[in-house]
Amino acid sequence: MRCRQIQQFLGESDLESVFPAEIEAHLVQCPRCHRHAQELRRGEAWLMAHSRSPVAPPEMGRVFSRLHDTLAKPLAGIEPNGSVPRTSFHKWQFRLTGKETVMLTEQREYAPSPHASGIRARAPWRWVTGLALAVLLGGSAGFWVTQRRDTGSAAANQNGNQGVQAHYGAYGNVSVNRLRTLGVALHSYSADREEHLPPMDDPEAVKQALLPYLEGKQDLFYSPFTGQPYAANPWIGKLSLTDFEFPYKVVTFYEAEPDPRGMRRAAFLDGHVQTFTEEKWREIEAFPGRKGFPRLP
Amino acid sequence: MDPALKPDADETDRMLIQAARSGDRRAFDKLVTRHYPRVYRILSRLLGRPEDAEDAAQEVMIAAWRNLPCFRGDSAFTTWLHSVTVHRGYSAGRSLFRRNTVAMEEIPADAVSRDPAAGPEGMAERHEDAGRLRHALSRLPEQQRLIATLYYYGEASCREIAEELGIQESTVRGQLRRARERLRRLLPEMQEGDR
Repeated sequence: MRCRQIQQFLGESDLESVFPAEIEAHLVQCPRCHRHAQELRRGEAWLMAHSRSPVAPPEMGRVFSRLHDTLAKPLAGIEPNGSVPRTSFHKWQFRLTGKETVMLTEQREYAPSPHASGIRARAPWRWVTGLALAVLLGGSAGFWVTQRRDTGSAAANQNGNQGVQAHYGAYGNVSVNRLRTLGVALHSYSADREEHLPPMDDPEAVKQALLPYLEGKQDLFYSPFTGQPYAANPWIGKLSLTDFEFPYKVVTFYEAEPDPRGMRRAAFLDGHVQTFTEEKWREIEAFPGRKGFPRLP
Repeated sequence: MDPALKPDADETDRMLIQAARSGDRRAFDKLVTRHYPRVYRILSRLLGRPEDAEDAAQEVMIAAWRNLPCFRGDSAFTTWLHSVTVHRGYSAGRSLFRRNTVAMEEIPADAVSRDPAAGPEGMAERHEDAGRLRHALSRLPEQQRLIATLYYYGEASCREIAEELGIQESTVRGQLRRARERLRRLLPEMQEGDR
């Protein structure tokens, strides 16, 4: 066996156990592998010492008593068994057609989120206040509607048309979800290829590489705002994940154009997605931690 | 503990979830009995203080109960439960790490009995090392973090992790190797071994 194979074996084995005779024989002969094994063992001992502290088993009687107390208090809108009663609601859909905004409504049935009841309860108050303000100030005054991502409630609105703002908010959420999905697909791809990323400089190659991990859903590659494909960071293609010291700073995919509000969303190598103003976006580096790389366009 | 709450070996998680979804609280209690000890052990080691671990474990179990109606069964229940546990553990641990100083009363009482010769300074140092390890783990990619946490804090073997997460054992070993490599870079003190 070659040293590289031995070191890979050591990295993936239980370091506390006895190695096979072939490996032990190699370790005796090869000082480099011997040193590597010792380093691994030292590191493993450190990890074990700092993670596997003794834990007293929990008192299950107390656990159940606390749990039952909490679960006995139902949340508003939730049945005692945790299910949520089905309710009907109006789905509001806004479509931009040039400068006009067309509002479509339809009635649907859904099971709302457990946290939505409070928001729905406050919604009429917002609508009434907002309409009154809009009438008083000749339609130019804004009113606030809190944006709640998890419930998909109405978007915040300071000036202008509430429908357009809600539209932007909803599309923003769609874009964030698409970018996050692309990030997961990228990790699945690299996990199957010894942690190596696909070629990122060719949009078509990225798409072909990731499509098998996205159940063939092509729309995930396009920004809902512009319909243009997401841009990929071309400087990180074919590199290994271990090459990155700060994965949470490395952009993988991003919206090539800012949205009409001047915001831009980007997925990072650690999987998180962040929204930037154009000013902040200009500070993002293509390859943080390494010199000589330009900023992303 | 009520013996009736002890789950039978032939009662799978899927069966208990089905029963719990139809409102059978006893089935859910059996699920809790089966999974709570592991959840508590991981959180207790991640967070240090038993009170914090109990609160976090309670939140995980309540989240499990509330989300049972939405659980589609595409993946194993344990996969979902451990993901929530690890996520909860690190988000609670992040606030602990931000505080640079360690109050003596925050050090778990059992740390004294573990190493009485270390003295207060040694205990505080050890506690800080544990915080640094937690912080370094929180910087790993999601799958590596989950696997490394289950392996080190949950005392699960690679085979058990593979079964719980529904992936191959070789994948678990590979991810664990990469996690160790990254931890070695993030934590130079690992090379000095256990103190």
